[in-house]
Amino acid sequence: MWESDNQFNCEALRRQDALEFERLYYAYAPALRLYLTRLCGDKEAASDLVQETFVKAFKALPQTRPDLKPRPWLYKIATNTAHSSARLLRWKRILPFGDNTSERPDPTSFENCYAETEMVEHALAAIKPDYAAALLLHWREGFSLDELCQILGVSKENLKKRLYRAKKAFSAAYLKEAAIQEKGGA
Amino acid sequence: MSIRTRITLGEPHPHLGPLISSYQDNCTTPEETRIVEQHLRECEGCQNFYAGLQQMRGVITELPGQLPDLEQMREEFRRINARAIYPAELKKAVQKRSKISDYLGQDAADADSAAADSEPKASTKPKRRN
Repeated sequence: MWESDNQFNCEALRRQDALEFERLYYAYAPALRLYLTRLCGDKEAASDLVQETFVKAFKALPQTRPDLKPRPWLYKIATNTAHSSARLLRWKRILPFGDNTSERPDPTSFENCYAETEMVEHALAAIKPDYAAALLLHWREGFSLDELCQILGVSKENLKKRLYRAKKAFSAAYLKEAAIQEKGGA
Repeated sequence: MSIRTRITLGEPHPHLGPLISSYQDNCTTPEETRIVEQHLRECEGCQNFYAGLQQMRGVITELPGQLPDLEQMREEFRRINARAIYPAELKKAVQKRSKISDYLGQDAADADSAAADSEPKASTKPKRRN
């Protein structure tokens, strides 16, 4: 479970207090890393993105509002950073499952049979980052629809459409993963 | 490890798919909720679709967390510090020093001025001798 935003002194954060920012980093970096890994399907890229997220966040702190909510704000920066990176590096197109394709377990081996978690993560990495972000933020990270609108920068109507398309895309990607697994296991 | 869940969405009635998805996310109006619930009671295809959506939510919600790698975090924070925090602290220190210098400079000027005021002014006119 995530840390509560109330435990942070937002005034100190907005003054770029180094110690308070360090607390923020240690509270949220692990969850953000996992979110970004699942979003881009690449652990190393996710580490770079976490670093970039906190650098951007620190620089932007003086411009934040007094009623700053650190958690959704950090996820917004992380999501935007990941999207910019995806546009620049196009890792989604080059490597459908990130750079861990070579590390995928051998599906012909019973012991290395795909676990469900891996199938879900591969399916998430295979769909559009916009879709994966919507599903992960809503279901895995537990953000409300209003928070999602703010993080993703979309209206509620557009968010509903995005979630619907994301679910359809995820289902197709998941079935494709299952087919690969069955083919390997056959 | 074996797979314990298989998500099969099935095909909903085309005009109801988005509405069922919104219903799952609790963002339908009371009227839409009534329509969806009534339809789900009657349509097996849409029931399967809704069940698939719920399974999907389950597998994503239950994705496991991960213990933080403290060594990696320390190294990462060191880099963040070097890129963002340290330069900002340095800038603050320079600004503070500049303010102190300005203050001291002003203070020194004030002191010079006060010292000059306290000294008897040397008259340029020669004193008249009686």
